Amino acid sequence: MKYFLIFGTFILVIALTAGFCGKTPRAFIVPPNWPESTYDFKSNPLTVEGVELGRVLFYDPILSSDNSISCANCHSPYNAFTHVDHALSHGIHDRIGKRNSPALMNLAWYKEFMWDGAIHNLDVQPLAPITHADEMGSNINDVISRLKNTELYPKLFHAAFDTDEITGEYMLKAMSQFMLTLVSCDSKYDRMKRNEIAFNEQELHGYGLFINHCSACHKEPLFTTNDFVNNGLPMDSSLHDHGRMNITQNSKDDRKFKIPTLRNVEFTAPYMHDGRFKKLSAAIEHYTSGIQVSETLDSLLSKPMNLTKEDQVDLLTFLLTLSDRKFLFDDSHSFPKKYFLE
Amino acid sequence: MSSLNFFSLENQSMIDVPKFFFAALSMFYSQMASATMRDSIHVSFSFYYGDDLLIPGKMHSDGTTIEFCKLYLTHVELINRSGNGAVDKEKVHLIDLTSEVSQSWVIENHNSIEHAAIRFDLGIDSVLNTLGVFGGSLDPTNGMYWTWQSGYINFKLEGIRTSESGVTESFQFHLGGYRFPFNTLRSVSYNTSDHLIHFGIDVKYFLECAEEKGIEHVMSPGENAMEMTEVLEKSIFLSQ
Repeated sequence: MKYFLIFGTFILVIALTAGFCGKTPRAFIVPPNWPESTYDFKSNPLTVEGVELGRVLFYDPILSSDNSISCANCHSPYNAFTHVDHALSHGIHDRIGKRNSPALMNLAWYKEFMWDGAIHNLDVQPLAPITHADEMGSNINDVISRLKNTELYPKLFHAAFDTDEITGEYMLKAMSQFMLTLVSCDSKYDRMKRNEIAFNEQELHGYGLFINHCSACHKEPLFTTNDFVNNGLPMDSSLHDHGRMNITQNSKDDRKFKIPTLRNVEFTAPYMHDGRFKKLSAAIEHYTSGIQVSETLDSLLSKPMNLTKEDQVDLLTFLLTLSDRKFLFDDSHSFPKKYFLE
Repeated sequence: MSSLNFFSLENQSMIDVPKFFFAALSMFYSQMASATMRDSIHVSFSFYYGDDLLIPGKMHSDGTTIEFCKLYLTHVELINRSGNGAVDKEKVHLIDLTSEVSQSWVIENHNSIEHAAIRFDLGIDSVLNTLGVFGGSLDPTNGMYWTWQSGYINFKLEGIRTSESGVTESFQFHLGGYRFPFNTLRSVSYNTSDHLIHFGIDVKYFLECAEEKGIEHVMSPGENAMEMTEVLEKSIFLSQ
């Protein structure tokens, strides 16, 4: 009995200390040989209930003003959480935004979000699409009111945060928790790196080309440095998008955009911040013959890649090894139909 | 024996015990009250439109109606002549024109320092701006967080101007920004040894300065936000 009491007290103290009372902790595992994640998990520890709430919110159009658009509309799981075949994001009333919706994965390693880095923390990222007139056209207070007036959400918030309150903080933290679980680390490339399989000759040659020409910006294993660069795209004649300069108001940042990850690039077409390239081969061709020189062009791109057609095919073949089908079809990321259909 | 001579010498032997007990109790409570006064500094904040108290939604004689006014005061601290301080346990105060509760609070001066000044930050610092999402005064539902770009709005003023001909025009001043070179956080201090410290903000002065500078509205970090933050500093005053 004495030992039972001591053990029980120990467990209770651990549970209270960890802040998980009534909740089920969910581990976040950094894949072997990956850098440490940058997200502050201490301020928002993952729990099974928190992730589940975030998942339901992610797929629920209740976030939009007319109940028509969910996050998943522009971030579909089967396309590595981007919007396939759409150059620019879509919103309520068929409105069209100004940027290509970015793929969502490995977000625990990112410090800045959006093509121009306007958002500096994953927790506050959903505020941008929720409130943008061309996306969800809503506001956080209306969303909170709508969530409170459902049967479902008070229960889910209670399960996730041990509270009867639904607040902006809890909603955003839950959404972060779900998005943090979107980790893609099981592509053919990853399995090759873990010595589970070997690349064929063409893939190996493509990998070599990648290391020589692309890896400085698309740095392994995340396949991005998270920096902002001008990659030589001519200014779009209708969007006039100055990218990072809009945020810093510094002309040195003119036409700089975030370097996107190349993981699952096979599924994230169309490419670039404005979705101007429908095919991956066209994106590669840009770096061989399409770069426009300007004052802010990244120095690494001052000389074109000079790849033969065969090299371009081999490079493309390597890029296809970054596809992670296990990630794309992971049930734990998919539409939570039991909350909506059953 | 009448009650009038209750304290007379001849009755001294009868009243000594209750008299001294009462006196001791009075002194004790007096000391307690004095200590409480010394240990608790009351801070309050009022909104003015020129000489008038600002009432949300009320049109002033010049045709201006203020609908929304909130500002963040953070890291409030009492400082003595040696530079040591008593720190307000509440790191963040969101002062709201429409919420009386938000306009006053108490700083516990546990070390009983003889303060000579009060200092605070006007706005949210870069650390709080970048750590993630918070609840309470910092919850994004307070309408003090930019959504298209990360960052808190330090001061938000919205209203309507009605001209003599009846034409109405809305105005918005959203001052914020924490990144160099447009960091709008301002650390300010005021000399005072009072235990009841009352601040005011003159919104009329703020709007007149904006008009003089030709700044009709501010909606993002930048040079105008920096310029109007200087005006904001001058719009806040310590009531004597």
